[in-house]
Amino acid sequence: MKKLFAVALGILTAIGGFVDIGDLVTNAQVGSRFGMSLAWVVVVGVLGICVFAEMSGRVAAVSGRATFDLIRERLGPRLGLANLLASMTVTLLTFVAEIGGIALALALATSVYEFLWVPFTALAVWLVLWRAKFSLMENVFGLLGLALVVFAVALWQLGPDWGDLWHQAGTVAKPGSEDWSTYAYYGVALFGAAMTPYEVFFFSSGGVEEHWSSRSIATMRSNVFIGFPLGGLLSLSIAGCAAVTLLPAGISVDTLGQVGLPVALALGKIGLAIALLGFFAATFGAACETGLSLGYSIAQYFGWQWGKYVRPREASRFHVVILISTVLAVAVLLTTIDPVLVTEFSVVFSAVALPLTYFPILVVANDPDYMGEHTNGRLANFLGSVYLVVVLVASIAALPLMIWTKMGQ
Amino acid sequence: MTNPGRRLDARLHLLDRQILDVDGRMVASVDDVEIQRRADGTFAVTALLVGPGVLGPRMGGVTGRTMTAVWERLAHKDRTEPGRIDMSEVADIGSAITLSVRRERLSVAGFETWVRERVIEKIPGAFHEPQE
Amino acid sequence: MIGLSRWRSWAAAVLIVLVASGCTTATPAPDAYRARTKLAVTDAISHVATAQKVLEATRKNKILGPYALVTVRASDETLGTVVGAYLELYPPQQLDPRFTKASTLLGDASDLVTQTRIALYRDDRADFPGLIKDLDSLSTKLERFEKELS
Repeated sequence: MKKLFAVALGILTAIGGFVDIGDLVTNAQVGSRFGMSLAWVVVVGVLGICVFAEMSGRVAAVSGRATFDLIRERLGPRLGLANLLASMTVTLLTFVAEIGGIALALALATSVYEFLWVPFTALAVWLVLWRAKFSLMENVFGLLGLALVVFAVALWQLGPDWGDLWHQAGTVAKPGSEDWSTYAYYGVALFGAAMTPYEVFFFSSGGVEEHWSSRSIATMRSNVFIGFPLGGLLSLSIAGCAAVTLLPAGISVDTLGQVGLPVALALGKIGLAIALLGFFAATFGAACETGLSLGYSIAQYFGWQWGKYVRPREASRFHVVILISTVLAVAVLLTTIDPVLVTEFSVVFSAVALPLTYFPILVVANDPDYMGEHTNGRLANFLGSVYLVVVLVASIAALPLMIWTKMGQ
Repeated sequence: MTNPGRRLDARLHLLDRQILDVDGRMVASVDDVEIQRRADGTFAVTALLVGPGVLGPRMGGVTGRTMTAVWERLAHKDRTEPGRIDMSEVADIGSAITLSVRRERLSVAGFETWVRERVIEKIPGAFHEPQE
Repeated sequence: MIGLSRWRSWAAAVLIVLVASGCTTATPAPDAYRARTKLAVTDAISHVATAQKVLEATRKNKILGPYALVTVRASDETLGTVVGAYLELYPPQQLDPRFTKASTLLGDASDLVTQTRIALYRDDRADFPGLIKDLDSLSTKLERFEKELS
């Protein structure tokens, strides 16, 4: 019974923790401009994050070593350092976007300007990272993030023409007013939003934090293969809501307020309040995850003590990295840069940086020296190789598309 | 070394590997190894070397030189005195390297100690276990 | 280190060109001007429709007050920036006369969204029906104009 509860909790938090500011903004943007015609990218991205997270989770469970530890071992210190710098830059960008997202959610709830919220939200995030227990953080924000189910309810309440939505999703077509280049750009952005590098640092380091062993593999897999696809459904319902209400009105999403607008139209004040809670939990949870990931990756590269299972004074360098990152994030946001714009950059650069972490993990997952009998099976290797190509294509295409379309104009 | 029957490739099994102390706390990564010639003419790894002072020279190039220079400046040491963990203190070599001593007994954590004393311990809560 | 110093001077040259190119006056070619106009109009349609939906939802009591205000405030800010940047451009000389309509329409859109924001802030419920009607008719005009452009 207790075991069943633990498994259910794991799956629920995986669903609720799946969506972050990148998913919220990008899915709504894509829905409002392309309808459901890019839904297939979400499916590809969710399957991709399942493959990737399962591999790195298995590696963490069997070898007890987390992602960046292995990246340095496989790539050597030089290439590993270049990889570290690139990955940390992208994760820092995501961290900034998530903190900005919390501030935007609080601004929407109170009408106090988001920039006034920034220092307080950053302080709150830091306090959680400093004091709260790992499992507490993961469970609270994961469960509260389930509030985003309100988007699925709203979509159902809006009573769309389901046949039409299926048709849009089933055919690779775009509205006449958009170019194929912007279609491709948003495809890459959506892929980057679904497959963000920090998710994997966090997932595998979290496995080490919670002392996974080979026996944890089954639980880990149920979280990944049930939780993530259901989380992906939340992403799709956000896109669906935008496709049904915003697209026909000619609204293309630029602000977080527009993301939640369909819920207000469908369900009124209570629905909107739940959506706001979901925004807050999703961005706050992801801010904690990205903040920790910054500490994890640099500490794992240099071999420093990291993790929340020890007292802060025993992992001083790890905590000082988190502290500096938080201050840096506040400084960036207080330039009054639009957090939604930061989000748009962060998802594209996520797509660019993804192969840097994906490739070493794929190699290690096949190495019997680390994995013993738990190396990749035939299916994992097939999917792993297919996704290596997908990840590479998205990475190479991302920047040219971003420049060519002027960020999707 | 604990299992003398096993052949180990220093490059593959030692370099860049995580070092854990006897309690499982993380110590450092193996940045380089010390090799000495034995009386019988064979070579043996006698110590694990850690810290930017050895990682920098191993990396080479502008990055490596910068890393060494910054380390020498901040640690008030030069590269002839790197962090050193004698092989007699190594208990096991697996996917990580486990030592037979507690990390406090090693003198390889200058930066950690500096950060701990100057920054982290001044913040309330540094000594507490994470809370429920 | 000859190689390095040459590399540095190239980098400096590229940097200077990049900085200088940001300082030129914005007189886009007619095609680019048309594209910029269309983009600004599309943005205006989006934000006018947002204001209209939010106002409608407020009238029907379906949206939280702060949420409504902040959403329209953000639209107002964004549209203000877009319209401002557009009006700063120098139109090419032999320009289709219908483009003069663009500045008027965009200016109207920006003003109307600002009015919506103020009405929401003051909670002037009496003003809502009139504003909704104005937003509706401006939407129609903007959409018609967008069609003319393409």
